[in-house]
Amino acid sequence: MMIKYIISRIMQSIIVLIGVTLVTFILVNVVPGDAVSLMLAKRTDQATMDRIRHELGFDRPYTEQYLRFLGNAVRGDFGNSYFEKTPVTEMILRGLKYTVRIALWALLLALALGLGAGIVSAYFHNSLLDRVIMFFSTLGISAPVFWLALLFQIFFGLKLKVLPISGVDKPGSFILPVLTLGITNAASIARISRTSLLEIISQDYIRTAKAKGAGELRVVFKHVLKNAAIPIVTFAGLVVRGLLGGSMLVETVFSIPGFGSLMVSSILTRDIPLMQGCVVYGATIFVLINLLVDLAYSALDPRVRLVKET
Amino acid sequence: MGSPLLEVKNLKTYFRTEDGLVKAVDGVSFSLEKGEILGIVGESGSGKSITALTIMGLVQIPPGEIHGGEILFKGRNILALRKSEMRKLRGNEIGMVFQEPMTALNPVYTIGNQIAEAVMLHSDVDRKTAMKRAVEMLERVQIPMAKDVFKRYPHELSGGMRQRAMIAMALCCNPELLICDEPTTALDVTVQAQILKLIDSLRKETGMSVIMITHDLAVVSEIAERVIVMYAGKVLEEGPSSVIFDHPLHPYTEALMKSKPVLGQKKERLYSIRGMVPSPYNRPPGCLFEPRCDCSMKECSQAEPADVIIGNRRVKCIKYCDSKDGNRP
Amino acid sequence: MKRLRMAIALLLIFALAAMTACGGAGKKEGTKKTGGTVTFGTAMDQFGNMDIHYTTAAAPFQAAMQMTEPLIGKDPDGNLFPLLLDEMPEVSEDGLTYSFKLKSGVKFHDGSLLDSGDVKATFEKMLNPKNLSVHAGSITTLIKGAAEYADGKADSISGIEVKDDQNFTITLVSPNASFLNFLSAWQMSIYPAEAATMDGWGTKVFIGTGPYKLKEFEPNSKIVMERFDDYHGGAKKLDSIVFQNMTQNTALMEFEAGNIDLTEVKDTAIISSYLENEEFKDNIVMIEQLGTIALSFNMKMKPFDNPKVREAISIAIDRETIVNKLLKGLGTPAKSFLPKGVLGYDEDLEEFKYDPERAKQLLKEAGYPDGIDVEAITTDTAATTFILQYLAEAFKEANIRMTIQTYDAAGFTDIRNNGKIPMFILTWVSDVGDPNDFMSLYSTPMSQFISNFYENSEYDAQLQKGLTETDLEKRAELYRQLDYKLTRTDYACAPIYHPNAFMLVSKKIKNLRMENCFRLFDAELSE
Ligand SMILES: Nc1ncnc2c1ncn2[C@@H]1O[C@H](COP(=O)(O)OP(=O)(O)OP(=O)(O)O)[C@@H](O)[C@H]1O
Ligand SMILES: [Mg+2]
Repeated sequence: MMIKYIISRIMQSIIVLIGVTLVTFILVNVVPGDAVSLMLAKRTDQATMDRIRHELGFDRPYTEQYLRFLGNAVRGDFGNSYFEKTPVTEMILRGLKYTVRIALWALLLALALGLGAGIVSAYFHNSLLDRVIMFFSTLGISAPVFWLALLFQIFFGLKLKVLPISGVDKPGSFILPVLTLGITNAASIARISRTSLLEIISQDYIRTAKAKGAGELRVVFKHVLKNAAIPIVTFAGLVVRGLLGGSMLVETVFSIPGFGSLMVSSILTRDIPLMQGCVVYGATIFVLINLLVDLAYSALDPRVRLVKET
Repeated sequence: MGSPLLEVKNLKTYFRTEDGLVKAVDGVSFSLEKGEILGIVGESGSGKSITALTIMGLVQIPPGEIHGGEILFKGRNILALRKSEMRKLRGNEIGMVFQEPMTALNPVYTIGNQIAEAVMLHSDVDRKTAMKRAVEMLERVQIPMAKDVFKRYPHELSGGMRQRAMIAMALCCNPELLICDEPTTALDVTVQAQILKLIDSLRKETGMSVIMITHDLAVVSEIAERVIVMYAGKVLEEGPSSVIFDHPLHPYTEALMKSKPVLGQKKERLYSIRGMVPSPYNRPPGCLFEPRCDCSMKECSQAEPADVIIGNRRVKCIKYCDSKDGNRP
Repeated sequence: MKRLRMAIALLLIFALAAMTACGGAGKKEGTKKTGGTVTFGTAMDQFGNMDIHYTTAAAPFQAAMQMTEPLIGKDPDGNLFPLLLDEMPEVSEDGLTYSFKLKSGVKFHDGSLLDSGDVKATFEKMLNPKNLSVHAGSITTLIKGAAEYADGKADSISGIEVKDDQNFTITLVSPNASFLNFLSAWQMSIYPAEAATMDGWGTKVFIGTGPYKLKEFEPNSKIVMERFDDYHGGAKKLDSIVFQNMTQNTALMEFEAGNIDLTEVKDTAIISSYLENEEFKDNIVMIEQLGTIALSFNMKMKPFDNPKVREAISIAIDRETIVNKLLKGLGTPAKSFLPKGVLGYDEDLEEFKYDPERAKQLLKEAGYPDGIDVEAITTDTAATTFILQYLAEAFKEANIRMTIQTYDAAGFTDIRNNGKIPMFILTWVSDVGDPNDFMSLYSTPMSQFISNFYENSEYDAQLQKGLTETDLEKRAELYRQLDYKLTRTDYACAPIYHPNAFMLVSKKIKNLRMENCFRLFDAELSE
């Protein structure tokens, strides 16, 4: 039954991805205006533009272009970047190397810090400690990533001179970006996990577990955490997606040649093959994360399985 | 009969809240013999559940606090037990069944898992034995296809099934005392009767004692031997169920009787007690039922009436304080 | 966006203040020392490939200037000189054929010698029909046979003839006075012949004849270049030059922290805060740019179809105030479209007279007694939006009610190409500095490209004359007249000011001149 569910979710994901390629294609090719003239935003004459349009196959019928694009996309082939003249996939993998590394560490930090703070806060709820933690988490949630990044750069890089301000090749280069992304997300995880823990703790089945004679640790680890994990996992999925989104900003601020900054520059330069590749790869990652979250979700919560099966 | 299985003496459970002190249980006393079924009735908010939870040691402290009294279980004051000792008692010697079977079972574990957990908590058996015992228990509470239900999650079962499973869980360690807090309120009428019959037959089988909390008088009169009537954290009347409802002594019991719905008829109450349960804060001196009482006297609001024993019955009403049959404890 | 930038500027100013309060460590001036590394912090967003044949973005050019060279160089004062040539080429009587002789012994970074074949191959690479350079347009109109080659109709460019290893000729379609200037543009850098077929050219390999050679390139991240000891002009002093990708704000912080030696500052507010800062004021270096910021109109749209309206707008611009107050003096008020330093610039021309009353009068004469409602368009990344915002206020004085619409860069390009922009701020900076670069923008059909639609056959004919006139005095006069016609007779655009570029330069760098070329290669370090 679980397998049936997984298969149906995978099918769904594939349909979503095909939709994404179609939308990407339409966005890039059909509206607005002419892609090549956008790509060559500076001075170029009409003849040169026409020649480049032909070279990129933009003068073919849309259906033919799309099918070719789709066929190549399935094989992970998005052609060469117009400006770098390097296979798009190679460039994206190069960028992901940094982005995934930062996102993973940031996620780890966010989870460790957020869950820790959330659990402590829930355990001592309404105490002074709880209030202090929640104050900082509100601060962390409302602080713009951009601002936090700048603050860290000024404080750790410029004033204390203990960490590099930007770049990827100095020792400790990744600390500030990871900290920036980790802390903002830890704040929201702390809040969510506190709320859901408190909600679960007051549930009837927790009282039942205690009535059985289960000890405090057992109640927390067996009965509370698994239930609380359901909203937390959902949220962690959001966080991962947010991390990828946030990486655009953070990578720009910290000069990291990751996937985010690649995407930004592909849009700035209108490098169409690169842009298409970035969107499709980005969407694939999002869809995969969604799939993982849903699977984790259904592994945690038997009620989801039933609803989705019928 | 020797000493009673359970003796509650002048129990007081209070809650400190931001709005003031809530005296949820305020001087409750009763006792329970081995093998006996005691009914506790009373309107919503009268302190029935808190009494039960105090016995179970499940009142959150804070905001709750045990302000005084004793709970003697098999002669031991369990209020004085250490946490770990109390834990050994819970689920083992005292089992409890809660009102809402949907929310009282953990949605993310199977029925079998949850029953087996209870088994393993109190006996030194391996997982396999515990699971076998869980299936046995499910069979004992007359669940068909117990082996299949064992693997099910709570949301896959009907309300009646879930309540049976709850009972199986409460009984898996052969407790001497079973507390049922409104076990049938959430169920429909035919299932209610089945569950009550099941509890009764299990009691006969095992010889355990049962506290049956309900505000459904029909349930009590059907199953309980003795009844206590609670109001605003106090016991207003106590007596055998066979007589207490036919000849209520306390005006509150009488009012409760009038408001009792007739089985099989329309569900709405034909009569409800006028007025409202007094606010739990800043309670006035005197009888707390006085403002709603049809036969209140001016003395009623002056001092709290004492308990009066009349034969095998007990009542807390000024009407009986001067009665020749009564004598003060 | 604007607000965000303000906030960042403020933050940076705070940071600066904090730094000064701490008391910057005094840097000692010491003896000159060869070697060392200069690190340049710059935004390399658009920089995935160093091959300047395929980009118009600034950063790749700045890097390529250290590594490759065009046939003809241009010194900081704008004079052409033979760079890969023995001497300046000879021109035939009819002005069509140029004979070149390559300097002997010029080596590429891989050790091979430069020969005429490389020159021809470089042009053919740019015109490769399968992989056309973005700069192909001018070549196809200039050089004979180039268009045919770009269309795949010819096997080679007939206008480029290799005589022997060192001698070759280039034949033009028609005489063109700016041809040598064109050859000195950096996109005309000469690559070895193999560049056309090499895998990873511009990313993994990039070879030129320049004073520095590529050591390491990480797209969108950094470039490391090291000294080329066999450089034909004699080895330079610096060991290496590093370009690090970073945003403007990050670059400022890195500079203050002493981690980079050089960065460009674009925000006027930040420039002036550095100029007022004791520690950093001497680090600011101004570079005169050959460029013009102008208000450009769409002459197909009402009310800009009326020359009186255009004149009214032009004289309603208070250029002095813009330069002095808004730019804090970091620019020059414009009196023509051509900037100072470009042939045809009229030193003696009087300033535009700011006269809102006369502007009102002109509008009345044009049939707008109540003034006009106009819309200006800008992009969210444009550095000139603050000028529009100022103008929107100031124009009210002359009964011109202007609203501003902001688009993203792509949307802007799109409506510009569709000819739908009513009015916008044109930033026109020349990399070559030839007057034709400026004035041809308003020729037919080029003016369409900026949604301007100025069409004047006399103007076009005179422009054509300017291309063939080889007498400098006469040529200058032609462009002087063109400029006057454009900005003072027809008012097709309203020049506002000539911008300057600003760099933050570490005090240890000596001999840095950046006019016409990003001459990092001439830099020396002192400790
Ligand atoms: N945690 C708490 N904090 C404050 N007051 C509480 C708390 N728990 C219970 N009470 C109060 O104690 C009183 C008794 O509650 P209890 O749950 O025992 O009533 P009940 O007789 O079981 O009612 P019902 O029939 O609705 O179940 C109520 O007034 C309730 O508001
Ligand atoms: Mg209750």
